Amino acid sequence: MNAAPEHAYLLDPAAPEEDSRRDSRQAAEHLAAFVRQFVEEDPRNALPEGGRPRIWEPPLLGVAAAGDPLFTRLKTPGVVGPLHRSPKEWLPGAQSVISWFLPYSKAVRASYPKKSPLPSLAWVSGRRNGEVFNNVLRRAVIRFLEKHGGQGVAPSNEAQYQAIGMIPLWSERHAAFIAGLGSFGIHGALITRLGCAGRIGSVITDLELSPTRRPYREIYEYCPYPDRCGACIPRCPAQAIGAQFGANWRDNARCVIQGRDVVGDFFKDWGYHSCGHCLTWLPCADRIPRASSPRAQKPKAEAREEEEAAFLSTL
Amino acid sequence: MTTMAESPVPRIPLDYPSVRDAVADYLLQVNHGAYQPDRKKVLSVRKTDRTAWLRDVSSPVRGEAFYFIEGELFSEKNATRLQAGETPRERAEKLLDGIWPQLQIWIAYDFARSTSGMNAP
Repeated sequence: MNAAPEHAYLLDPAAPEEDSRRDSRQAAEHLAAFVRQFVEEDPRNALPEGGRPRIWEPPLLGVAAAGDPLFTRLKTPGVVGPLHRSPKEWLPGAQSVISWFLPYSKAVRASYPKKSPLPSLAWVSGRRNGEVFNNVLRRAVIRFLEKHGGQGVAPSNEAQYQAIGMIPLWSERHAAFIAGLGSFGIHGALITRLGCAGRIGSVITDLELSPTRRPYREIYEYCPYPDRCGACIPRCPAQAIGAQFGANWRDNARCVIQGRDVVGDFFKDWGYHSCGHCLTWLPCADRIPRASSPRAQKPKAEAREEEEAAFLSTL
Repeated sequence: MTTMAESPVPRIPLDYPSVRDAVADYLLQVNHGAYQPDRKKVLSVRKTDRTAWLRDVSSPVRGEAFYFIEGELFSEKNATRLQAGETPRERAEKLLDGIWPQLQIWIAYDFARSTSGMNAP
């Protein structure tokens, strides 16, 4: 366990039980197939510049029960905070939270310079235009749910949504953690089976879908820091990651200044900003790092069992 | 799920006349002769002034966001079919009445500079 004690809130021995009901599993499988096809076929999944490469590869998808007690824990000060709303505060009657991780395409990832303090044009464009596609996907998932007799709400696209002092009313990363997609790195991003270089989205629904089993128990389980990694610390051009920043490992203000002001100024004519050094050229960029905790590096038999349980992540 | 009473107004409002005219032009085209919805037509909106126009789908264009007329803006079957005696403009206005608040929010988020809210600086 690498995390500071403050993060014990997310220790959860009572992960959602495997739901044996065929209906909710089939519904989740249909949704997964729809999302995969949508990401592969919608024309907005492309950069507007250059050869218009694809921004996202097909996502990982996970489902959390709306009543999962971890959502209540997110309201704890210092976790996300009291402003964070539960699924049922966004959608009365909520049953499930569908969460996805969109991994950047190889073209976008490979464009990122290894040594420059600045990102590539493809990266900053992918960050901006990729989030537009993420919005498109959120709306498509809502339509899918409505066609199947349910309701859907994407908190991050609701008019009331905002982040106050960097505390969001809905945390996509924490929802993804609860939905079994991955655990955090000290850089603040979620490390999934496909790494951390990507973006996260979610939709809350009143349809009951089978929750994805969380194959981890600890918030930093997939992050090998401090014993076997720490590669993101020297890579950050803003020196915004490190133990000196306390339990969160990160100085968010430095991070924002780098992405918004430094990178934003460099790409001013393009209208883009944001940095991605902590998501690229790292052992966790496109996988769970080999040096992560023993539980994250399971033997094959155990890994297979995990794969079967996390059926949605086989997208 | 947002209601108008609690909705903050997007910083740059969507230009209603250009949206209405684009949708009306679409209705004119697909109702000419036999009703034939066109799944390749999109409403494209420009970031700088939030004006809109009708075009065929293509790769994304810098500074624009687009939305499919059929299935995305208007998801109900035959929503874009003109009724007897109804003009394209009348139909366009009726259709927009049903989606206008939501469309404003979609566009505000698609052009938002950060993910901290639709009016985030």
